[in-house]
Amino acid sequence: MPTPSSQDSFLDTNLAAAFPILQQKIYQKSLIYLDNAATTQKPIQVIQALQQYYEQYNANIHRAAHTLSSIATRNVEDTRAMIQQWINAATTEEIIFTQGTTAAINLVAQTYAKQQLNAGDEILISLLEHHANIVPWQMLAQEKGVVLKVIPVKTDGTLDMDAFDQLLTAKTKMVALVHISSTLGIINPIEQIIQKAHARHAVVLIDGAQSIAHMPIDVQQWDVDFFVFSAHKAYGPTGLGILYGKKQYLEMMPPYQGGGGMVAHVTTHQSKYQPLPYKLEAGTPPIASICAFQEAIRFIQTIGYTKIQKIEHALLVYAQELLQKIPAITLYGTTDVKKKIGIIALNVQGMHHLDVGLLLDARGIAVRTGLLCTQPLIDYWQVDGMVRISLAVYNTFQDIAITVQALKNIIQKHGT
Amino acid sequence: MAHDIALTDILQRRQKIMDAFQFLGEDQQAKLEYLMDLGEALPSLTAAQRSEENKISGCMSKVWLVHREEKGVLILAGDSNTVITKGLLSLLIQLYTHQKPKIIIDHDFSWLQTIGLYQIIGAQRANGFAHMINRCKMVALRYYKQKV
Ligand SMILES: Cc1ncc(COP(=O)(O)O)c(C=O)c1O
Repeated sequence: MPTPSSQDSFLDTNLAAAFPILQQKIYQKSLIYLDNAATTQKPIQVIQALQQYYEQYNANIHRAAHTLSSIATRNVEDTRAMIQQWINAATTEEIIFTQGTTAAINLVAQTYAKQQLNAGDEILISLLEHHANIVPWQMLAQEKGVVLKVIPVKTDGTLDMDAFDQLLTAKTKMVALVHISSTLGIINPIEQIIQKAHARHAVVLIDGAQSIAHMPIDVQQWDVDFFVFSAHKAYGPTGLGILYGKKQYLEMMPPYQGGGGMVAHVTTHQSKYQPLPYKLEAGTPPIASICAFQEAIRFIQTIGYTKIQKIEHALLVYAQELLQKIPAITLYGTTDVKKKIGIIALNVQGMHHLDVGLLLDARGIAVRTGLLCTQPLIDYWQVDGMVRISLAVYNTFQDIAITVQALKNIIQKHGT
Repeated sequence: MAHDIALTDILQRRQKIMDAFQFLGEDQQAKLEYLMDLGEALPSLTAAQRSEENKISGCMSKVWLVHREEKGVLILAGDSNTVITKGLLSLLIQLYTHQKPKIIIDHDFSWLQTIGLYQIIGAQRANGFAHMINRCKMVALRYYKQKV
């Protein structure tokens, strides 16, 4: 199988070399990791930073007078400042550490939305949402009598913008939308959506779980009100998520969880809260993960989004071209590479997605199968699951070629 | 006497399965393909047989088991929407069909650990497989109780 590598100099870089986990064999076969939308692997710098934290400056933050605590505290605040610049937030107060995307969305739903929305107000989500951006709003709808409305998709999986225009009314108080679909890789036109929502005075939350590792984020340019993502999907450690919120909205949010670190003054009856961002960060955060996340950001910035997008785009084009030539394979959603990132959802005719996943696994190839935490979207195609290939910057043309060949063999042996 | 013959029989069937997996050795792909070949060879049930009543819950895939008794032995058939699970069912049926209920009830399944089956199917499916074994044993127990 010819690979288009020769003409592209950027493909010379062997990024996978920095990822120890990718060097191993699974069932005597070299691991090919194509489940990056679920979580990315971690480069050695991130792993070393975690170890360094525990070896050299493990201490609780914002509390003690001792040296270790002040090193840890400074490191945590350095990460906050790095993230602020990375996504172009106006101030560090606008960067809140959470446990993940899910926790960040729940935080906004249970504080901001719960306080600001009333019965009859409407929240707009879309059919492309991950369960993490559906269930918190359903819970709020049940609790407060707000109404959840869903923007449908067109047959190619892209958002139906005409329907959006109709659904967006004076009743819409909040739009909570995924930036990039975790199942189809489709990039939503969020700038346009934010503009239109703001014209109606609706507040917009964007779920950036799938965009942060793959394209530059500029919260100020987009004028987004809330932007959330998980460190573990951007080469960083697990257990850490980021909630960006415009200061005016974060100020309005009542504290969600009470505890240490978020209070300025406590008597047994009353507490005075810390200012932002600490007001929203009760208890001990995942300090090691926060410190090590700096290295993940540095990893992304060193390569640069321009090159990341170039590499992943080339891989996507190559993969889709090969897959489209296989008659037994159905691809879901648009294959227009200008509208998507390196996520491909497929099924093999006459085969169950779970069987395909297991047969790939036995060949050392890791993919995700099933409902992909986006059941409403999977239901739309009237299937009971899909096989998802999702790329990261360390994947190679060879990974794709081997995977496509494996799929061909599987189809030949087990397909109908 | 008859009981001893039946016991020998199930142990022989067990040995056959163990030999097959032993032969495949450490080759994960070959083991999985073998299981899937078994699944593809297992006849499907009719749509009517794939009923809610015959469904085994607790599995990741949809699984159905049908059974009847003939001359003191249990006759089993099954189906699933995934080939891998059909393969697992096929193993169970290989062992249990045309066996006396008591033999099925008494059979200890811990030997499955030794053939590396759980590495092939993963922890979640191993859990589902346990549900299938349980269903077989429950069915056997029901027939057994009717007898005594
Ligand atoms: C689009 C999207 N939103 C939310 C999430 C949830 O992220 P986490 O599990 O890190 O909270 C995911 C992860 O799969 C995702 O892809």
